[in-house]
Amino acid sequence: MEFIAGTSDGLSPDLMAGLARFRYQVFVEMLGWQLQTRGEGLELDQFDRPDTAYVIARDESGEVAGSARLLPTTSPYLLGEVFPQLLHGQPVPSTPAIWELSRFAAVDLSAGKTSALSQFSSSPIAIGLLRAAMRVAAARGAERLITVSPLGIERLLRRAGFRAHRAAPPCFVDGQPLFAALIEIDESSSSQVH
Amino acid sequence: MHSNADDGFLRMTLEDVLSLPFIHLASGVDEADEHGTDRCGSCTTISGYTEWVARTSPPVSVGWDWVVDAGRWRRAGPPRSNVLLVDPIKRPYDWARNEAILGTVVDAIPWQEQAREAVCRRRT
Repeated sequence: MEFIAGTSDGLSPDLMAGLARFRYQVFVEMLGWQLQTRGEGLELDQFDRPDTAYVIARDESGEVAGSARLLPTTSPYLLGEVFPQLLHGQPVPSTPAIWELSRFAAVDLSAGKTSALSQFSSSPIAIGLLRAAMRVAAARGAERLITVSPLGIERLLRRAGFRAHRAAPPCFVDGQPLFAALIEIDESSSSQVH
Repeated sequence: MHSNADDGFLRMTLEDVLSLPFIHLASGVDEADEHGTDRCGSCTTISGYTEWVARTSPPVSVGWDWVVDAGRWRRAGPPRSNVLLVDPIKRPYDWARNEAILGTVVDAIPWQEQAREAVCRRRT
């Protein structure tokens, strides 16, 4: 498994297309999210911009096996634009010290239907992908990540050794408890897994 | 209480937290292992989570895992919260101590009955 990082104008068109196809397969087909798509089988939205950073996991055959999207909170981002209610009236973070992690997925597409939680806990590359995303964000000045997540992610992150905490109480969105999670970036959490 | 815009924690003293009127938000049961490793005759563990909130401004959130052990509902593991406890001169506790002290706070909440009722409602 290799992890490739960059922005859309720095990554190859083929890799970006592979990323968009992977995200479509995971988020639209497997998880059933109602998302806007750009063309047949491609998942990209208004937050996929030239300044958006990506971390892409690619397996030995060259296929995309994981994705993470990173956005600076000093520009429009998912939590601030689409899910501000998760902060219960608190100011939406806007600081170089916090980057948003979204479209995080590390799944075996051949394993069939999965949930947003099981794809984190069952995939062996999920932790490696998260650590890689932390390193990329840290290189850009981040001290922590913020992410819109299902409630169960907090306990999974903590069990995996990450320092994660909720920014506010969870909210039910379409019947599912979501919350804004903050994940601290420190040397131990972002270091390579040996 | 005050919040740190960068780390997202609400800094509060233990005294402040102890005076909060926590109310039950939601509780749920952990789903069975989807990979089917449960075997006939193996022990079944009932576990889940419970979430509580104090509707202050900003609101205070705390949640924890639970397990049913010999018929008793008990907390399993440290609580998860947006609170970072500070001492009387406003120095924040470290991560482990924060979890430990918050654990004693939630253990004083009579949460078991409401969590059990919420779980039963969801499953009927």
